Amino acid sequence: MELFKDAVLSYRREKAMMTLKSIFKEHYLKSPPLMPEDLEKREWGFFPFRKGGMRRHVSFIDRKEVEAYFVRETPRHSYYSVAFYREPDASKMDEKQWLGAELIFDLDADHIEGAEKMKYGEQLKSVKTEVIKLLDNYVLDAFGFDEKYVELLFSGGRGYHIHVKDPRVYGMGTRERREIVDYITGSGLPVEDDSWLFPERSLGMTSFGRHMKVLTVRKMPGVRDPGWRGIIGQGIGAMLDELEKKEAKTAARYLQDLVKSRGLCDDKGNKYGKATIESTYQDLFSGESGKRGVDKLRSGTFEVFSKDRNRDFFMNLIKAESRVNAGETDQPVTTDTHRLIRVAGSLHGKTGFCVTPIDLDAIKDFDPLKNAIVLPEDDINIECVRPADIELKGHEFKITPGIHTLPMYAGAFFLASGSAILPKETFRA
Amino acid sequence: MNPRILARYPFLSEAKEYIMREAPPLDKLLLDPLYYDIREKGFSRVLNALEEGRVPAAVLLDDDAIMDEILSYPLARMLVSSLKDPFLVARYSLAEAKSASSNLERESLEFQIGMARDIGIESAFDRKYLPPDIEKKMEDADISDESDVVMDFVDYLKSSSSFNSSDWKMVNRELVHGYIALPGRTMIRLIEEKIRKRLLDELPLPVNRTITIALESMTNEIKLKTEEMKDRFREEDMGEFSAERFPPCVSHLISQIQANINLSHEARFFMASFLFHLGLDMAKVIAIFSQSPDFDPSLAGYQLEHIRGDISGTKYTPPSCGTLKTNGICYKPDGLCRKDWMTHPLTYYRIKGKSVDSSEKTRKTNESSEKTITGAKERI
Repeated sequence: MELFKDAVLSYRREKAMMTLKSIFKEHYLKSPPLMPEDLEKREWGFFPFRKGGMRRHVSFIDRKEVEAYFVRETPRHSYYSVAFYREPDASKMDEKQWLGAELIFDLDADHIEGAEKMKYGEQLKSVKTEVIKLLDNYVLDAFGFDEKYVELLFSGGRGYHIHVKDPRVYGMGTRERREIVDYITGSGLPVEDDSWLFPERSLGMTSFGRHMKVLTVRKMPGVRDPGWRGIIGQGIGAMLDELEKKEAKTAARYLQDLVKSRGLCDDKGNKYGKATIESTYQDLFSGESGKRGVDKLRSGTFEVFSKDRNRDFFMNLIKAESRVNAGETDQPVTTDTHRLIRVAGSLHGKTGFCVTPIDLDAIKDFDPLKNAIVLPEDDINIECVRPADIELKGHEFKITPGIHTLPMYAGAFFLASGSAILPKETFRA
Repeated sequence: MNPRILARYPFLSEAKEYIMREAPPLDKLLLDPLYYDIREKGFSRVLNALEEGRVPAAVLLDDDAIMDEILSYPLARMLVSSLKDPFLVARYSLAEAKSASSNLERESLEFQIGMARDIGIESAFDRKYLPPDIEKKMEDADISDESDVVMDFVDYLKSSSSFNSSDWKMVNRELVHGYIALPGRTMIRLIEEKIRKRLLDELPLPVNRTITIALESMTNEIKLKTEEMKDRFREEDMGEFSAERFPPCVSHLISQIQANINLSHEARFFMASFLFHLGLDMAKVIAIFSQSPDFDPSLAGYQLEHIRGDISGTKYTPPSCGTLKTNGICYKPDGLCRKDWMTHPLTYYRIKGKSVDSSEKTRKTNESSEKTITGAKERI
């Protein structure tokens, strides 16, 4: 009996997929996907609605062929290669004859700390924060890519894609692309090397009686420093600003929490105690404004600490905090020069959302759960098989076992994500 | 450009034009006694490259000497191409590149930048004379004083990608809005690598019968020398098995096994392929792995045989430093690891062998200090 029930359920799931397929087909009739540059040089790949593997090594000659394919075959998931090939439909990589590839960054909820505990909408929000950082601080600022070459897309699922279409990058291999990822994530930073992070500069000689001594000062990473020292310098600046805003007591507690969460120790492995923390705070913030330790620190001088231990604590704090401004991105996606990526303007087969291009200026206001919803408002009946809820276009949709009448875009979401199937009468008719 | 300069950098595009213009017909160059000196120079170019890793320093007393020097370059390429030996090609390309870069160090910054552009680093600029748009991008950064050159970061990545030392990583560079500021001597290293790669790509050239027959006696001699050098490298290669020569990553993995910590799949693969490559037999490798907590002799045996190539016929080479870094296996790189040319753990083992061997000779009495992990020293 159980077995029979499973068979019926799986039959009804298949029916639900066929309905979803016709919803997608309707959509593609009116809104075909967007065409990539050099579409004839790309490999295309598709997952069908029926069970089965990916259909790869597809190629098209022109826009008409692509549009016809989407309407005729209506795939569940659609991809094209970030690479250009002379023979995109060859079935072996070395026969395709690689000509170059866009530079891609992919960021989704998997990269967000604690994402598994968040709801879908929250996940999307924190991914957006990360993608703005990646875009502003790295793609546009550090690498200086011209905005006209940078394309930002919502993936239709849990993240964002950035395509860099600057012809200069097309010829880059895996190793060059890995370097770009390493720069973004700050991997391989020599933060343990004091001569890199806090280089010493000689001020000249001084004499004490018969003894000569070389006077040196250490330099702080500054906000105007080039490269990663500057990124660290900006992080230190933000931390000092944060401390300055706080009362002495809360500032000390803030530092104590940092020490605890980073497991900060001196060279002998001893934790920094309350006394060191408070005295370091005094070194930085007591005195007349403009002449305090923190003011000197901001101008690049390091010689503001009353004790060596305070200085060491501060240096270790900076080392521990050096990566706070690092970006996130999925390394394998960027380094794979043959990667397939979702077609812009196509529908995501697990959500029914559109893979949506976003104006770079509009990312701050972009809300995927509004702006990526493209399916119609018409009613559809669905039967819930797994309770689920989502807020779309500002409306809360919550389904519990039973039959629901919903707008198409919401119904399609529950069908696509597997939370719902069709009521019996719908597919009998 | 002055031919005297071309004589020092005969791979430049302008040198090619000079050669097309000034060279005698091919059969004359190959056979006429008049051009004996050029052939001799070409021959010693290759021999020197093989033996010393440098091409001979040019002595440019007069115009004839300059012409001989420039024409010896195509001749050397014909010699190398006649043999089509990858070892010879690699050794020769490296020698030409090394020699050019040591000449380049004595040139003006302007000349060095011109060379960078000629060889493919087209965005190289003198920091003092930047185009206005780049100047504007760089102006809000405190570039260090020693960085007198600026280039596009894409050019930097493309020309530095074969270097593995952490100094070359972009995180250690002065990157500002897509441009990297660096010292001229650093740029020279990039140029050197570009030259080496260009020659590696170009060689061997197709050579016809006239060339092979005319140069036969020279190529025979080069062939013998090449084999001799290969043997020397091979002998130096692994030598006596010694754990003292392990790179830090390998020592670390072994200590993890001994501390009963499970290794990742990638780490196991690396260890096994590395040890097999040093010539350890199956029993020894299994002995090392058997200290691991989840050791399963039958499963491990099969996997190890696979890595050794008993099953598929493909013998796996251990992964390069780059891959080890990506997989998080690279561990506390030491001074030797950080060398520019250090790209592979086997290279580390080979080089370390040389330095350990030489210091060994001086302290022969202290032999007991040598550690070997299996307790056995063996010749492989």
